Amino acid sequence: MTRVTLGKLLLDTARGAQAQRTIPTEQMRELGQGIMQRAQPEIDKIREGQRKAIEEGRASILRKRRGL
Amino acid sequence: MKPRLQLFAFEDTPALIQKVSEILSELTEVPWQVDSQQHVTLYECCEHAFRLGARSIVIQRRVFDPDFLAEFNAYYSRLFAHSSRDCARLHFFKQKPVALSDPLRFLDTEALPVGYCGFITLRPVGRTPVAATFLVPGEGGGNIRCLDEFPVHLGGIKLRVVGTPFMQQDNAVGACAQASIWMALRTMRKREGDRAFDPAQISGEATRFSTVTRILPNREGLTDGQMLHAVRGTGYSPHLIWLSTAPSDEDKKREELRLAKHKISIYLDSEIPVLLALYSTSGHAVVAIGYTFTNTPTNAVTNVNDSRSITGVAVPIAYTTSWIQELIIHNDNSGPYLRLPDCTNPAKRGYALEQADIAIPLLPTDVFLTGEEAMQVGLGAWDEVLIDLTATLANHDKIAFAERFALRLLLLDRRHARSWGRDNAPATDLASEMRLADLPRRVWALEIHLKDEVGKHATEAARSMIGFILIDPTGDVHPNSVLVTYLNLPMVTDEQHGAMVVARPAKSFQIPPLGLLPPFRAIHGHAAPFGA
Repeated sequence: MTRVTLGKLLLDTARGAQAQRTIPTEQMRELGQGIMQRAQPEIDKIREGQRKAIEEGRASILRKRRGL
Repeated sequence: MKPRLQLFAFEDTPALIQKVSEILSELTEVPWQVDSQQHVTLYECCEHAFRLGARSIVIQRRVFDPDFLAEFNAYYSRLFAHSSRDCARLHFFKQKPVALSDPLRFLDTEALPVGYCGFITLRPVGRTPVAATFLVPGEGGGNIRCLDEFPVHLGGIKLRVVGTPFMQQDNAVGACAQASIWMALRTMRKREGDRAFDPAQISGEATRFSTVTRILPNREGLTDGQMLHAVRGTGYSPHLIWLSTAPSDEDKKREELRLAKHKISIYLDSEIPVLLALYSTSGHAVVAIGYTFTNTPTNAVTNVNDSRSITGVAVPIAYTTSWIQELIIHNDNSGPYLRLPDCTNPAKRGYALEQADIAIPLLPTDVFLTGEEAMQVGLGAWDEVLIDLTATLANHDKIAFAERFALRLLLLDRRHARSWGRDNAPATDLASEMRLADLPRRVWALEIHLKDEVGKHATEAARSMIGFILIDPTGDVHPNSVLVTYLNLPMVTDEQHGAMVVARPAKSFQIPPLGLLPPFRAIHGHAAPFGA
């Protein structure tokens, strides 16, 4: 069975006969998971970058004084 | 004793500077001649007031300025040498008085509130006299995204200044770092629970847990770590953004620069001031408060694009950051509302964005998803939209379709989301949901704009938005982070209706065509004050 995506849901709603409809919980969960599967690796990369910056000594920047 | 209120009119900057020199000499009991070399900041403040059209001053003497009083209590009162605690304020007006002898008559009958340009507080410290200063930004100097409205009471008259608070370091209680933090904090004061910290309190918070030298006098400034302590101690999240690894490779340098501007602009669009720690020959701190916006993204350095893989095809993603030319900063050692170029000009001295090591936005503590992370959630959702909208297209048409859009991310107050719905989608489910839906106090809003329309914001309050994705900033990483998605499909497809998907409770709505919509918070011009 095809996974529900945000785009499909938007298109189905725009084309549908009903002005408003309730989305089943399972579909909504699936939709959220699809988005997070795309976002999570990128968020992990950002967090890993922060960790690396500190571990690799860039934290020494934090000892620079700002006092001009 | 000199009168508490006195009027002065001037035709040019030299006349104004001469008067300011007299007042500073009077305050410090030492003769001073203000000039553009020795008093860069004061000179620039006066120039700024003149450029605003100010042609008269109401001089207010014997002012107990709360921020200077704190500096006085912390340091100057302990000096053996005499030190005054009185400040003077110079209130700038565009109107020229009929007669100089009666300031109350001028305030009652001649000075119009619209002609009030704000004030400079002079502290009795000869070399660094610019204390709490509130001047309006004026037009043509870029879009000031971080500002507020401040009431001013003068001789029984209530006036108002809409601008960004400015202060020069006093070089004893605080240096540039404290001054920049003060400016950022004072800008956010009303918006974030009325917390006001004076320079002495900021120094206290900064050095509470980490000191490498004496606290007073604090002429050496703060380390970045101490700045983070101060930001945390004053009630904000100590969120640090790394901007530069100081690469020697020019391409890498350009890449870091465009990413730096992109990351900073997310917070500026959220009307959150961003502290920038610069390093050239020595360390310096400034606060970014706005930007200049051009009609074409011509500069390669500012051409921020990304690419995403949509069903195996790399499609480009553009951001409205591409239209941002230069950041606008308050620089305590140079003046208010100054442009920060991307790169240093070898022929001139001065600061540039390429010197910025780190950025510290004043992120509220209840925002657990940073701008950089929220962007990834928004892009994940946008990918899912593009997949289906381009499902029937050939690969080159998928790319052409994705190229039609530019994205903008900002942290939005719930009340602004609600009022946007009321004003821009009347009598639709879009308006009802935006006004009634359960939303956290703030949401990250990923605005989807038509790229060809974005440049219009350079000259007018344009309409270019065709949809948005609202993201829960308290969600951290959670499958239900996307709260609302709306797309005005008739603007970009053959569909007859637009559509909206709401997560809580999970529903979808068919929305009639609405045309191009304005952004949640205007791009053109200055931001609206908090209360507006």
